[in-house]
Amino acid sequence: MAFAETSLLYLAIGAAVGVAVYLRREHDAPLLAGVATALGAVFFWPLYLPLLLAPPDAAAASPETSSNESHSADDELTAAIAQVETELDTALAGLGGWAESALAKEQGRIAELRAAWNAQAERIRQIDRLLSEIAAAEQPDDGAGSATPLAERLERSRAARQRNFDRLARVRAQAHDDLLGTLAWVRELVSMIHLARFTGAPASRAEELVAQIAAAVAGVSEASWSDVDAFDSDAALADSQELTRSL
Amino acid sequence: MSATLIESNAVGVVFEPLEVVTAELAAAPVVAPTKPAAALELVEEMLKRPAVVDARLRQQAQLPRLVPQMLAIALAGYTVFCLAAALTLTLAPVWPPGVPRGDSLLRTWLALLAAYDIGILAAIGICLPSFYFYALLAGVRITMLETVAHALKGHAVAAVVLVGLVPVYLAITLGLQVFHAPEMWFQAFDYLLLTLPFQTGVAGAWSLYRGFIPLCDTMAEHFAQRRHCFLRRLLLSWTACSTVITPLVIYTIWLALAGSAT
Repeated sequence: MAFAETSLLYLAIGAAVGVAVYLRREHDAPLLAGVATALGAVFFWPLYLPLLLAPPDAAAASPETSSNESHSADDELTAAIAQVETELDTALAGLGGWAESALAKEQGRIAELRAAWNAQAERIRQIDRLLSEIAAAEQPDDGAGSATPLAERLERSRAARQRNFDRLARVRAQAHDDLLGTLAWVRELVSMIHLARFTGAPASRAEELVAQIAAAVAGVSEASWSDVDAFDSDAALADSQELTRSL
Repeated sequence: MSATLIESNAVGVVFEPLEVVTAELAAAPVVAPTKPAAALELVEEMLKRPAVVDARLRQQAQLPRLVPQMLAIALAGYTVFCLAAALTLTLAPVWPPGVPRGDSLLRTWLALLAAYDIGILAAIGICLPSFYFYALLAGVRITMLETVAHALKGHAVAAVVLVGLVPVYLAITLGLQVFHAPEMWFQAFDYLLLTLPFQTGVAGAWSLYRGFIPLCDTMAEHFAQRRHCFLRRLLLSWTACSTVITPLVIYTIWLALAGSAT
């Protein structure tokens, strides 16, 4: 087949893909963007085909794909963070004309706080995923009941592993509690901002409350470090040394 | 944390290193903004915070928007390069031998533009199934759409770097013109210019690597340890395969559209 025929065939398929891409565009997308995307699809249709073949809501349709976030996009932590962020945004928006300087001073730390929440939530999800994978991969112990040296060593190793995973589960629970605690604290402070605003409190009171919200980022960071401390590395080291000696 | 259990002892019993457990804790995840970015913001993120772009690619919901944006960035970058290359080739006193040339200036320019713009991106289309297959072979849980997004991100990064380098080459060729350099120098720089997308492709390949290798965390933990290196090799193979195919596609399109090679 000559170049011209191949090109014609390619463009014919491209035209069909282009039309399909145009019809599947987001309804609120500008017309120009839709046309440009469709035109791109005519010339580069092999790249758009997977887009067409993917379910309309890719996030909902492929729960076991690689995205860490997409695994639990709608989980309770995401919902809780979203709710607190919305409330916080509303409260901070209300500071306009009353205590703007407080907001300007703490804006950076509040952004850090939001990032810390999300990072903490993601960390919890990662631990959840890890623990569920470990639980699924756990093999039944074949040597259970026998008293051979190998069976003893295996049993000791299994017990050490189990202890480590138990510690990890405790770390997870602690991180979860700390995150929810921080979120609850911020919600409480947000309600106090509303109260202060509508009871004619001085701007200094708002500054104090915003500073306390911003300071919650330290709480999240401290929680992270305390989680690591909770994972008793000395105990793990002792376990591993004991196991190594037995080998 | 430094405690490491012996991985394999004399009787062949395998113990998993504690690092496997703690690595997950140690890794500080980059959280992708949930708000979609405009194309220019995406370019900025590619340059300043590439990890954020990688994190965006891991959000399925953002992919339908990211794919056309990456494509647009790549196309814009390659188009800028093509215009600069066409200008340089046209202004040079001699046309480099073996390079296709149309019977008119317009045809020459359009052929060059189409060859690089369509050729480079069409080559992705050709290599895409193998990329997807390689990823599955390595055990990565990935969709075809994610594969497309990763491949396009590599090209978008390469195109951005290309746009950064083009002025340097333009300045050099301008210098050659001003100082009446020998024809051989012009030809050498013309050939070098035509291979510029492949030189910047290294940046794209590195970006692809950096975004793709962390997908190992989608494998089962014990599996990821063994397959990490395998995935790296497969990625290298795919990059090599793409590097061979792309010039062929470009030259074929260029020759067909320009009409003849000098």
